[in-house]
Amino acid sequence: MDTSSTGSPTPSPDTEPRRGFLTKFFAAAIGMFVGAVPFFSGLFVFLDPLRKTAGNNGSIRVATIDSVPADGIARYFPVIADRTDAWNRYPNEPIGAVFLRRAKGSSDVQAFNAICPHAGCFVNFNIGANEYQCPCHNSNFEPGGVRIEPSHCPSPRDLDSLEVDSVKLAQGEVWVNFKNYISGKSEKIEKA
Amino acid sequence: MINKILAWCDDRTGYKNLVNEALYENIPGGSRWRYVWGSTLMFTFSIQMITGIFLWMCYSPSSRSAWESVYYIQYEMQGGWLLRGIHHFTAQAMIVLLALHLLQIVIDGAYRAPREFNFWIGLILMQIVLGLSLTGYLLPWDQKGFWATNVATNLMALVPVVGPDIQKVVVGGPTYGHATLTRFFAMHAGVLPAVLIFFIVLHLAVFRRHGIHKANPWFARWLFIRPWKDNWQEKKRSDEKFWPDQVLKDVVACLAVLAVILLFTVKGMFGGEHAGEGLGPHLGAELGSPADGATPYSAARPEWYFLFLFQFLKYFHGSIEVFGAIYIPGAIMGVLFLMPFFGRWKLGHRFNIGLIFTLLLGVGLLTFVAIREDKSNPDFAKAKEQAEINRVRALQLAQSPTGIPDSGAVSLLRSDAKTQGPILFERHCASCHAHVPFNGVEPKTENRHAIESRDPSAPNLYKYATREWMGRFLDPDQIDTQNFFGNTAHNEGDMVGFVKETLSDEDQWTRKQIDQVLLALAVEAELEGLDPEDPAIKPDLMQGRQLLADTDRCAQCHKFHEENDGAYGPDLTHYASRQWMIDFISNPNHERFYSDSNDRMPAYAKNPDPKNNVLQPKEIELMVDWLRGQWYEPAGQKAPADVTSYSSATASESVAPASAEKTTKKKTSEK
Repeated sequence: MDTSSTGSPTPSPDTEPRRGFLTKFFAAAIGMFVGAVPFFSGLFVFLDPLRKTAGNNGSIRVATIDSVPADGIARYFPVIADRTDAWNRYPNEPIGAVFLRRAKGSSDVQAFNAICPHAGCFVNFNIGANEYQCPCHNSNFEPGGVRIEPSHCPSPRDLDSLEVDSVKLAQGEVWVNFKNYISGKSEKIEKA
Repeated sequence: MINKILAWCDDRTGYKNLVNEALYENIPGGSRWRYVWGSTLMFTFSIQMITGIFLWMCYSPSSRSAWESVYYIQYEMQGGWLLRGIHHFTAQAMIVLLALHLLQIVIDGAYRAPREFNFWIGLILMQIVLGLSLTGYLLPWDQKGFWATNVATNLMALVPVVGPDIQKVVVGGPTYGHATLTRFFAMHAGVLPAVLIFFIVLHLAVFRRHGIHKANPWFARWLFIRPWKDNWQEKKRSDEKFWPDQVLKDVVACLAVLAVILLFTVKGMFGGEHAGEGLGPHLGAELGSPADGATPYSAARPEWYFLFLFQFLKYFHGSIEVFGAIYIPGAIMGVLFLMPFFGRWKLGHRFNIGLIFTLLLGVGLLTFVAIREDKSNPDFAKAKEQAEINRVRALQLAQSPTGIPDSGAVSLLRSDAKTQGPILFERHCASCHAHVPFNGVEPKTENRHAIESRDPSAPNLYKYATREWMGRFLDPDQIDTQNFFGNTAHNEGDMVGFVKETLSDEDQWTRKQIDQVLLALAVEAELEGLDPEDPAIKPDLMQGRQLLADTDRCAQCHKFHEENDGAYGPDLTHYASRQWMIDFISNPNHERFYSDSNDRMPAYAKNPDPKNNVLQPKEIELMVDWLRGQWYEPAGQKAPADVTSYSSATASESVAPASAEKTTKKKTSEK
């Protein structure tokens, strides 16, 4: 055993690796921990949006039945509701839009979310061509919302139909259960 | 003396060594112009950091202050347009320089061993720069940036399994809003620059470790040195140092890049584009109209450097969209990462060069096709035109005396009669009412928005409430035409009979009397700024009012200020004034108006509870103000209602305003 001038023994070969290992382990572990705490506390906040849901607007009054003549033409209507954006609350703001349509001679009103299921742009209704046309990637849909030539249409599904309250409709008003759906999917999945 | 001081510093810091290492890097084969691209990228990144920090001192990332603060920088702060313009165009320049740098690296084989890591770091740097462009484009929170980014984040949902969650985290919730901006801004100004700097440091450290890769002689020989010259073999150039030889070439290239950037930024000064009516020349970067997620924006396109992806996506229909958006671009990036391994063989290297040229060609072709498709699409042209109209209008309103309200710039267009009037009219009125010039052609001075009706069954409301309109209404040759009562049940009514038989009879009604009545009605309408006490008009006005109140004349059927039990026609008290029009549209069946003899016009707001009405009070007010031509116009422009006098309306004459240089009258409600 080698003794230094101070008298304390240098570690023998069989004790050194164990002490060295413990030192390294604690140095690394404590170092990672102190680094991880601020990072993970930030990451936790960063993931807060996963908690947020789109919320249920319920049935919203969009128009009167007089505004939707039974001529087969789809008409654009904004949807007005209260909107929350982080710390702000906005009453009666446009939150989206629908197309309302009554087929010739029909008393039923069809409602479609005006957002194209492909990538999220608003579609237009071209009266001359009698079809919905999306100005972004050229998806097009029949007046009833079905894709024209599905194999060549960029949109993976038809326009998203929305439920119209039949009780209110009988009273002459069009109330729509307004929902948004995830774009790009072939199934209609509500945005949570 | 200086040397002694420097030696003292060097003793303590060792700086001389660092400086020598930085400046006196050896460049085998001498400095070259083709080596400048990396330095130009460093230069443009520095521009972005410097201009970015100064912009940071003026920008506010919230959905109610982002556009507003950028507007302020662009139009109100001294040199703001220049600072922002440099930042905008340098971002574009970086994309081009990235491509050139990558091209040079691949052609010269500088990605091969031992420089593989540096190549990969370079590809990572490219991704970060593209990420900076994507995040930066959203920050002004204008329609352009909003919708371009909206599509990009929607595509994120395509990633299998975790796509929708990724989208939610990136967007900061289920919809765009405050949280989106705060996140994008943190990424753009904090996270991505920090990561970029980290990788740049690695890139430079690894680069300096291996030194510069000498330009590929065989390629140079094929492309750059003509074989019939007797220096077939590349002249053996001696080595040079980074400073000053390469540095000179680098800074000259940087100067050229800067010149191009400045040219794009200030080109508006040399005539050509105007920012819009009343706004002066367009300088620097464009600012679109404020973002509005609930208003369609059919001119949505990504910036030019992403147009190839935009075009590419059009070919992937339905459920294979994920291939076009994620798998194929991902695979191509993967192949790029593998290039150093392919390049170990001579054939592999040529393959890489072929690949990079093919990719760049493909990107160029897709971009070209995208632009050409848009140019030949009339709907897109119309959408762009409308976007431009809205952009100019938003800026005019922001610069108006009332400025941007608390509710943010998005409420500027939403509360603008000139913008919303035509939209509301088309949606709620145009199925029966037209709004078209009586002569078919709108004079340029008029500035109203003509709207056709597919099947007019009610009066044409163009310039309703003006003396011109009333004059035509009281014209026996016009009252029973399609423009007035011709297609309505009133065609068989008493008013038409009165106009055609009584009013046309010179013995019962002289031309002067009719004009006096028109004057009195014009004062009721409160549209032409007439002062009832004005001695120039008072005599005629009193006469007109007498005629209206005469129970043997108008008051036989119409109430006019005084009680009148025998009245059954619409009340002419304050006829066609703003409030009268609002009340009329709200409920034409009211006893004050048509009562039981209303033909088909719906009541738009008859219920005391607004939630049960077709139109909200604000919507009716916007439409009425638009019909009356009462909206804000910047000085030098003229709103239709500013025309202060109308010549007495003789049949089918278009009105020439008496004085065209009146300054804009502000709406009293704005004060």
